Amino acid sequence: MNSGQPTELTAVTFNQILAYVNDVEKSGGAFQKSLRIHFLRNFTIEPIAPYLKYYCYQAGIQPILSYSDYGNLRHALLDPESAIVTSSPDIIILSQYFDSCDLEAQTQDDTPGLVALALEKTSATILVNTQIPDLWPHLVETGPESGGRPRFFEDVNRSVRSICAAHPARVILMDWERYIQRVGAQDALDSRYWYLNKAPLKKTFLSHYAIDIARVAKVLVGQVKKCLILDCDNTLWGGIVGEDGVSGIKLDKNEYPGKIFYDFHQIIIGLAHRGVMICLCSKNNEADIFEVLDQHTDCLIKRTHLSGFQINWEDKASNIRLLAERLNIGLDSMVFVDDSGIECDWVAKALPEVTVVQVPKDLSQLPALILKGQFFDTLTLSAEDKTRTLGYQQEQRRQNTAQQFADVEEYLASLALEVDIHECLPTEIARVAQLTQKTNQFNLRGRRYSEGDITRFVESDQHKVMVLWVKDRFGEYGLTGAAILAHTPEGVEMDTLLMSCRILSRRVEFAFLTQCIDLAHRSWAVPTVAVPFVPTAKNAQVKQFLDAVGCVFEDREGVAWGLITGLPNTPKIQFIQFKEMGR
Amino acid sequence: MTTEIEVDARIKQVVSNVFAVDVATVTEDASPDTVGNWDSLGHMNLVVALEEEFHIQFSDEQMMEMLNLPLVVCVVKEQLAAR
Repeated sequence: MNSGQPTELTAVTFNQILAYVNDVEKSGGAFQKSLRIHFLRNFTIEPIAPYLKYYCYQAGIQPILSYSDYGNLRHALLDPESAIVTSSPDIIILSQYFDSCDLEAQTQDDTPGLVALALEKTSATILVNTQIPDLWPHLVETGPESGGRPRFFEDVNRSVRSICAAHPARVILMDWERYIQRVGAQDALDSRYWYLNKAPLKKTFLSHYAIDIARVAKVLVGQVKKCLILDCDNTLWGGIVGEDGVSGIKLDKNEYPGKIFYDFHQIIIGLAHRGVMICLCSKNNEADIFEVLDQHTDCLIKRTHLSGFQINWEDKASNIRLLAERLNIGLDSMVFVDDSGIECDWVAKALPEVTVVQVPKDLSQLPALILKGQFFDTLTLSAEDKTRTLGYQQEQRRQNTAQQFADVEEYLASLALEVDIHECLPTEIARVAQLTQKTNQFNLRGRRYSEGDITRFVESDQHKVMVLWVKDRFGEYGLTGAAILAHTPEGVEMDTLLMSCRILSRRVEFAFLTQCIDLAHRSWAVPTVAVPFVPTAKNAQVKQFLDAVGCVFEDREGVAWGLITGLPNTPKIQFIQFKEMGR
Repeated sequence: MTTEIEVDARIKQVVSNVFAVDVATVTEDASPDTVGNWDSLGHMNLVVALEEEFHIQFSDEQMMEMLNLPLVVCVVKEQLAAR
């Protein structure tokens, strides 16, 4: 099957990893993105480099690694000459290993102070690790007073977890305590390297650590899946509903294998609540499938969880393409699950961008399957994610309504569109950062930002961050557009302009651009705003939009350097009401 | 049973892999002086790669002894014989 199939860690050896990394580096591989990653550490973490490169290269990301001195980590953050300040890393990995024999060091843990400094001095996403619980043989426990060593590690870990919880999306947990549970003490620590080189971590442990770092990197560069497409028979339940009937299929939570499918449903619903779109794609009679969803008592997936479905006898690749069009998302943000090898193969060949996952032969592996693939990672969970499914259902109703109107103006007026455009508030920073990471289609330059970056822009008087809220009579879309204006010595430039595809084709984009340009005029008294368009594989519609508003382009090293003088041309937008939202 | 020559060749292959150099340039007397990336960090990778390749484990002392290719070959064979 294709690359979407999750690979077991043990399947790849250190020598294979080295060979792969060498090959990529020798061929001078073309990377989609590069990220600066800095290790702020108190031990020899360099042996992680081959693993981290391996998992990043596989995702088309080039990690540019740097390391602090071992000594005073505070100093590294405070010294204006240090690498951490001058290289402005995208990710800072606070990597600390506490020596379980050094009792003196165990009286203090400076992690909260270091994280606070890193938050203040940099705009990087910060990764912090828990400590491995003390693995030395213990003396017989005689009560709380005997437990100095284990207590210290427990306290540190509790503190690390609460720091991460206090700064969601900015400070991310690297849970060493969980790695040790997965790999076991034998494969975690190497005392030889610890005493020879101050390098305590073994290769299996390092590869878990590297995988987690690479997952964060993927989210930061915008490599996230958005949609899970599921076959039904023998994927969502055992048996064939068309033949076995609703009562004959295997989905009973108290039986084998029904419980396996029931658990699979739980995981899918968990993803739906995290903003993943769930779709069905099945060769069946639509009525049979919905009979299961509506009537089977152990069928947790209901109509309300679905963002779309194609239940018919057409080929699945065409159906998936239709779903992508209707949801307005790229094929590369879709994951397809089916039990049939033939269907999987067909979709993988016809739509290589789609990640295809086959239901495992060993059925008990099914519930964990999607989580193992780590397709749907996200750093922020916004209110918009939680209501997205609702949004797509509203979109379906809206499309149905559109067909009733002959005239587009009449249709748009009937939508009762309301927008709110204002400068980004502190509570909106996380959502704006998330939009820069996830928006691929209507995105001027595809620049990805962390929360720290957006905070910096909001605080700078040389930048303006604008947000767009949209609502119509079918429902609320929430914060679905953002723009960043930058005042530079050359003039005013649109650093970022993006909108969720869900709100396009209602002329809201024209209203938003007009307000942004107007703000630029008022803030910096310039007649012209530069709107540089950087083409990507997916953002052609932005260019069409800029042509429509009368943007004049000149070519500057591959960038279509657009200039808008005065206010942009817009079609009629009188039907849009400006109302306060989200504040 | 692997022959002596095979072991030599596999060690060379590992050295070439770890230090990202062409296997043809790894001479019999290769050492940190002749191989660019053979520093203390590279040495750690070499040990991990050799242990994986031959399913053996070195002691701290052996790790310190492996100062150049002839010594590496010697220690690897010592461990293979001890299995």
